[in-house]
Amino acid sequence: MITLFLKQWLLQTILLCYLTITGSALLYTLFHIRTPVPWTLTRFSYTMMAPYQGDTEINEDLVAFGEYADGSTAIIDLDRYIPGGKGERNVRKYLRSFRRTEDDLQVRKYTEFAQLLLERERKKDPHIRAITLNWHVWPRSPHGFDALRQPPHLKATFITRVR
Amino acid sequence: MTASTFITGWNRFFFRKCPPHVLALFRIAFGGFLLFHWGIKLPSVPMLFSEEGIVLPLFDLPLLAPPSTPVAWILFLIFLGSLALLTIGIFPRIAAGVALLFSLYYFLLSFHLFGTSFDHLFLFILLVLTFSPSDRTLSLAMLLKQGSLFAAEPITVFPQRLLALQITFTYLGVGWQKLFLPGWQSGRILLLGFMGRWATPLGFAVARLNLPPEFYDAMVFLTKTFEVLIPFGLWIKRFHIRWWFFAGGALFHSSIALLLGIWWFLVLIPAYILFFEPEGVEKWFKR
Repeated sequence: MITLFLKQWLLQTILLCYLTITGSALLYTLFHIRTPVPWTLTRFSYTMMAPYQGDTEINEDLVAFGEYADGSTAIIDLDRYIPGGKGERNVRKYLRSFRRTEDDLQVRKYTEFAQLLLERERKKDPHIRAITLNWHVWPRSPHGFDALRQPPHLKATFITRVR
Repeated sequence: MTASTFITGWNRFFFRKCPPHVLALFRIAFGGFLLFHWGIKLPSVPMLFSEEGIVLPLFDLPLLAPPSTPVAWILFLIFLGSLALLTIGIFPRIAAGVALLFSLYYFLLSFHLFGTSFDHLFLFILLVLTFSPSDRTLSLAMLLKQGSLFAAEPITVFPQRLLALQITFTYLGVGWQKLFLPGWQSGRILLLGFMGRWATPLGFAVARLNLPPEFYDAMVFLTKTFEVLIPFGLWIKRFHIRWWFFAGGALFHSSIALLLGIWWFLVLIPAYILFFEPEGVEKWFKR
């Protein structure tokens, strides 16, 4: 009898906790109101109800250039290192979970990324001397993801160089 | 309504004993979906989860140091094994718990960079299944225990209700926030989506049709109306209203998968079974 009562009490408590956390997340999702519910819990629940909130007019991508002993440079194919579908690969390149703000390029993490990339590329080609990471931005076009990824539309921003 | 009838109704809705078919069907669909979702990553295990790839864990913890390639393979195969056990319904609580821990591990190790809504939703579902008797019918467990896959033992309706509620709240947040989000006040967001990182060749082809802005405005209006109503529509049995929302949801998620390549929410289509009353589904099985 006591066990049954405790079980019922536990289940009711779980349900009320769930509804409180979800209610808090809903308030944040709709009105950006923060409640006293622990933020970690609210944020987890909020993440389940917040996909695709907006978009931009531009496409973006991370580009890695290898510099070789003979003075030549070549673009390194990052798809090998970032497997997955096109959208997933692109999202991963933002290193968003390390960014403090949306515009922060988080140079420290990109340098770490470039260093790891250089180590792996060096195993394939010992003549590689350095790697430069750039961030590419260009307008969207109905003719393809990369259609306007060229001058004068393309804007490249230097992120980091490792050697 | 008196307090007493409210409490009785509340307890009946959330905690009554019920037939196990709905939860079992969901277990099979969700487990199978996760097996596919993670199974297609098999060729990428070394790059995604081992020191061979460029792995940037969310935290600098020894536990999250990328393992050697053989260890990464062993861990991943254990993970797939747990998902297989969950799907066929043998030790499903342990399997769901193990799958939950691995999902958390892979999120912290690598998938935090993807950071999506569906991976959080999958974690929540695995957490619920960890504490749910989802193997009380249509499972290997019942075959071994009672000699039939179709043997059934009653369970509590609570996990089914929790999962259905979460899907409801996911739609509620997703839909209602679009009433306020600046980006969703015109059809432009749809056209941008068809030209962005997620767009499929079909999405780009639609964008090239150069349809007038009014078309996209109308499509976004329709989408918003549907998303605002679906959290309620899924529960309305009268006049078969929920069937319209099931069909609408299937069309909605299929369109997103076809035009934007965001296919992970397709799992919500079989998950609509959670909105059926378990007694009704049992009757269907007994026909």
